[in-house]
Amino acid sequence: MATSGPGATNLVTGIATAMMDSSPMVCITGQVPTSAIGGDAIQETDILGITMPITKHGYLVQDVKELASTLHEAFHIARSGRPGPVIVDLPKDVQLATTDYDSSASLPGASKSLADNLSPTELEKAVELLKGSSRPVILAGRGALLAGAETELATLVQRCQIPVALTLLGKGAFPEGHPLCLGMMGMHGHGATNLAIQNADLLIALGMRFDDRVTGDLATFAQSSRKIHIDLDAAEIGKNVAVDVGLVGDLREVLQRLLPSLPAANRAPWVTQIRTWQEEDTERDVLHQDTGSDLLAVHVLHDLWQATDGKAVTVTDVGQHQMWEAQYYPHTRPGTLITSGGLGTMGFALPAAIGAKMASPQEEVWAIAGDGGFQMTMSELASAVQERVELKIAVINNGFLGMVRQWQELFYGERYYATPMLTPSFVKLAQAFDIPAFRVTRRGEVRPVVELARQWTGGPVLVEFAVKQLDLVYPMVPAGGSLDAMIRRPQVTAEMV
Amino acid sequence: MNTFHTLVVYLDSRLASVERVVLLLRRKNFRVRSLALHPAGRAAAETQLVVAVEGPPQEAARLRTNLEKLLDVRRVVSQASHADARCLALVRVESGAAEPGFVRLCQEPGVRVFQQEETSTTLEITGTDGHLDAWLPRLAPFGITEISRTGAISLTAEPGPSAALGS
Repeated sequence: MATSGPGATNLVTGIATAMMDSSPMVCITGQVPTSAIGGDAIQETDILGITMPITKHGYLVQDVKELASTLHEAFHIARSGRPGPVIVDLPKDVQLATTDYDSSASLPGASKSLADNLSPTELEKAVELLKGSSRPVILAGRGALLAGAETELATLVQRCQIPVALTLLGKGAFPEGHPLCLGMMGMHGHGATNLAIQNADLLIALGMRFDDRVTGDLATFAQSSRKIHIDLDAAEIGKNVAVDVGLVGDLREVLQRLLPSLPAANRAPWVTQIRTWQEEDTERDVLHQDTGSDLLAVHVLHDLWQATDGKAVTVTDVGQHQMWEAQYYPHTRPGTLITSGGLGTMGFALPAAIGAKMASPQEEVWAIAGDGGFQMTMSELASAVQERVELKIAVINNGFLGMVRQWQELFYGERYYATPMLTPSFVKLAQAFDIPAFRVTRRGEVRPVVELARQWTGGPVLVEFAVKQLDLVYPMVPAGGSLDAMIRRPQVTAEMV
Repeated sequence: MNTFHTLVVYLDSRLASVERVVLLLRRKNFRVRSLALHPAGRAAAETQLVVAVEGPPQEAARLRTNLEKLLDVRRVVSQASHADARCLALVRVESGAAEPGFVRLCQEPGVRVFQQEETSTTLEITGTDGHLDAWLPRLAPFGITEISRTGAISLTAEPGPSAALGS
């Protein structure tokens, strides 16, 4: 809820973030009185027009008699079908007017739903492709979580022995740690995962949209595979990648229709091949290398995962730490990673984590941000204190806008511009809000300080991790590059330590 | 190969419903050839927008699936052929009413003299987009001073609200 003019425009980035990630949201904004609309009155802004491309729908309520039905409809639309943000703009005179509330208000525009276009022929084609595949890979995205299809997905994986790769927003749809879970795919996905996709003979895309960060170069993406795409949104089928079978419908229902036709299968040779690639990844993993006294962000995220037994809700910001979290904090439950995927909104973590903790007070919630993103919305520390939100905040401080610096190093001739950051003392900053705060500079301090933070009650607590400044996220598929042409982490040598 | 695709979009006549369609066309990078907007029938609750876009064969399906996501869109009818759509052009030429060549042109199908004034003649031409495009160079020698064209309009094969107008 925001006031008119600048209050409303300050919502724009959040609304666009929700639109890109299919998050249900209803925004109620103030507006000048109906008689003043169009007259450039103080704080008049056409927020309906501004947000039109980044909302699922929007309303300007001009008569209080329409208010009840509009709000009912707005919440219905935000949550139904492919979820998304809806804006309701309320002129001041409508806010002050009175009306009789009709709890049985109809939903005149709410009957519209995406058609269930399931064709028996297409279902049969999907079954045949699955039966005939010896090297299949499932690509599971946020749609799997939105559909609540985790059980059906697990049945499909287990029965048909199909490895599962996850998009960033699909993490949690299938438990990482399961032998058939390959973790994150794409630009900073695991090497073995990307190799599995590139060498598959069948991709089964479930509630994902073949984002450029997932596919790399479309011309070389999984060329030897047939493709099945299941999504609620018909406009996603064939949008980026041509598919052999497109099934439009609720993922859970589609899988329920498919499963009875799918017999158990054994794909041991394929799984063994992937396991070999995974072992190569493990050998390269910096966690298993001697990095001397350096505290790497990877250490922090791995140790945080261990300390929380992998059970925390993590809310990440955007940048290097976001990718490291995705690589080193395996999630086993739906809804335990909240992050900005599509829009890549820096500044997301702190306010979103406050919301996550308030919505799920029983969960241990960690906001994980870099020093750059944290400074974009750190004023929300006041909200966390004021509302006594028991939030744990980890600031991964490397003194740079690290991901941009990484691109400048790798792809722009090391011409560093606007990426070194002057950062404040995050400990002193937190203390100014009466937030207990700690600074960690060594690997051995990570676990004890995390434990201290976990035990703190009564409000937020902050831990700053001063990590090695110039580390890069590996592997990395250069933008527009082929998914299997990854830049790998160099082996650490004695000279480097 | 790029061709024209015509879709007839039936919209709720609500605040900003047309804007949403137009924004979608821009945001999704469609190459718009023309738009024609008018009430769909006697009921004021529905508006018909005929959208003509240029693009590869799959463009019509891409546009349709995106349009169907808009809450204000009641239904979308894809025309099988852009040749079924008609446009209208008013073309004013400097003179020529008395010239034999011009008179012959005015007698061709789809053309009529809409307005005859002392120093100019206005022709009304109907036909497909391509038909209208072909006419302009033929009229150029007579001195075109002004052109006004509509976008494509089209009747849908499916019975819709407009079909009930005469009942």
